[in-house]
Amino acid sequence: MGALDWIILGGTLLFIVGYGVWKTRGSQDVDDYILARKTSRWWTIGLSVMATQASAITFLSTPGQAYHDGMGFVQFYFGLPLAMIVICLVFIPIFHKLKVYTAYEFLENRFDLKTRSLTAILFLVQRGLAAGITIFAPSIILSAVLGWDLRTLNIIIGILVIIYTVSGGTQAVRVTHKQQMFIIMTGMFVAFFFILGYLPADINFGKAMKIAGASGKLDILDFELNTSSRYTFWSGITGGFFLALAYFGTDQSQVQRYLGGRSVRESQLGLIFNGILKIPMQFFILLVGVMVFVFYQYNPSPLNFNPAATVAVMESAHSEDYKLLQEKHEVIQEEKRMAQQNFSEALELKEYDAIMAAEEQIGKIHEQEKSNREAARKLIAMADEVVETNDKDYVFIHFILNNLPRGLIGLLLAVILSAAMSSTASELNALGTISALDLYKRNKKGSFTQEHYVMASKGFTLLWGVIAIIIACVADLFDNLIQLVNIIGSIFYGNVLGIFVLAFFFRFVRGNSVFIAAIFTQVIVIIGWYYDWMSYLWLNAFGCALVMLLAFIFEGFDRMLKNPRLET
Amino acid sequence: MPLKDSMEDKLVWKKEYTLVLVLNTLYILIFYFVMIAYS
Repeated sequence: MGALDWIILGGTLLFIVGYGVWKTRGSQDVDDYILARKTSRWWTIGLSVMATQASAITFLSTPGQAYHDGMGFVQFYFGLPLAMIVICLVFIPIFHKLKVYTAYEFLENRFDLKTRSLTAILFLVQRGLAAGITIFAPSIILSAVLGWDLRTLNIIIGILVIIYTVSGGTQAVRVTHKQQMFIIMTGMFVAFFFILGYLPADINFGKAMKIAGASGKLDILDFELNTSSRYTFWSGITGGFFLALAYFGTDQSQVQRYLGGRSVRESQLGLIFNGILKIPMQFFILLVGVMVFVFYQYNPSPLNFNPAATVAVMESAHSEDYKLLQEKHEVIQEEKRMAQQNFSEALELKEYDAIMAAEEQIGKIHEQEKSNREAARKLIAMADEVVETNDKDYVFIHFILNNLPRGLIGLLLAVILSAAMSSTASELNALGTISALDLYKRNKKGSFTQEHYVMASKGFTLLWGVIAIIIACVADLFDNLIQLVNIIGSIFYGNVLGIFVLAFFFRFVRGNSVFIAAIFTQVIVIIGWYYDWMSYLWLNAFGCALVMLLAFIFEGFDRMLKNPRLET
Repeated sequence: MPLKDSMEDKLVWKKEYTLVLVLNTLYILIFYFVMIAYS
């Protein structure tokens, strides 16, 4: 990194923090601090919802996912637009009508205090863990590739977010989200066009797509009915729908974004904005990863993109074996470059047989490369059990640091850190709100002033910020980071969603049945996840269905016991 | 009146929801076309 990168990176981050604090200065009451006085317009809500969901993991992991596995991951988002419609139809009108500050406040109105408190606690557990990972994920990657100290980075990201989130509450989160989304999308577009510019002169976008397609990277849709496959059209439409419904409809970090809308319509349009733009946005980020893949067809790539993994194996007794794999990798890369050249020429001449022959050759080379990389991963694992061998999360950052010009590196790092800050800010804001209103205010006896509750919200936000930093400092890397966040969500979301579905649609079900069903369901879902009963995406639908089924059974028993049938 | 009795029964469909469905169906068709055209 050069001086220009540091100036752009530091300037961007300080501007966001400073702007957030400055824009929200002055006295605030609870309405102001929690719901930004319900003044948000639809585009602000839409951008804020998107910025909350788009964490740094999205921009680090997703291109790497496309590089290795192609664009099939986009199917994960197919259920999201449907979820947006259901939330607009059902959730938003009721939340607005009841003038609630939090999603769980509605559950007390509908059921009872203990159900509200239980869902609030489930939220705090899962979102508190996720907030730590949201900070940790970019830190571990940036520390590995830039040599920065991991803990220092965790603390810096955490403190930057704490400053404006504690100071300005929801209003600060809202105004900074707009800046962050602008920086994120600008950075990604600039990176995309730079990648295209780095391809060989005879490779235009269309040809690059053909090259990606020949390697199976454009197999976007998979209609196979297989519950163990992680990303298929069906799992996206159903599992993705439940996950999105639970996340956007019941997770306070999202609910708080659209509760601040100036009217029901503004809140609804904000989510419609997300429902229209989310899939193209994810498609574009995956496309960036596919173009990085095409770039590495003509340029040397490391055997493993995680530099810490390479250092670990080279310092071990397996270094000689690893060097042999590296030599083989270099040979494969040269063969790959030649095969791609042949493929490109065949495309130019439109010779069908030559195209097919070149495609077949490319396929064989990819298989060789894949097995060589797998052998390298095994060696790394033998050399160091702790270091991450799965390098998906390191592909894009490796490309950025080794190929983009000075200045742009700083901008792309600002993109990654902005994304980390935008989701963490929403999470801390929601965690502080739930702790202050659903638990502290609701359970503390006595009457207090507005300022008291604002101070309590600030105190809890600060506390959760510190907890998130601590979790980030003790966390360990886990397969693919974007999946970890989704797995944690899937364990809890289905249950919470089921409680909300019962609240909205099944008026005969009462609080006690729901409360007991929710406790049983949470235990069973955790057991199901631990013993790997199904792909994690299905846990949402499973948890949702189970809590509803158990609530119906308990409600039936309760009614039978209280009103036994008379013998005639 | 208890909340469960005061909750609205009618769900109001708006044209924006149709737009979301149409556009997202279009996206999936485009993805299918991209997959076929470049594979």
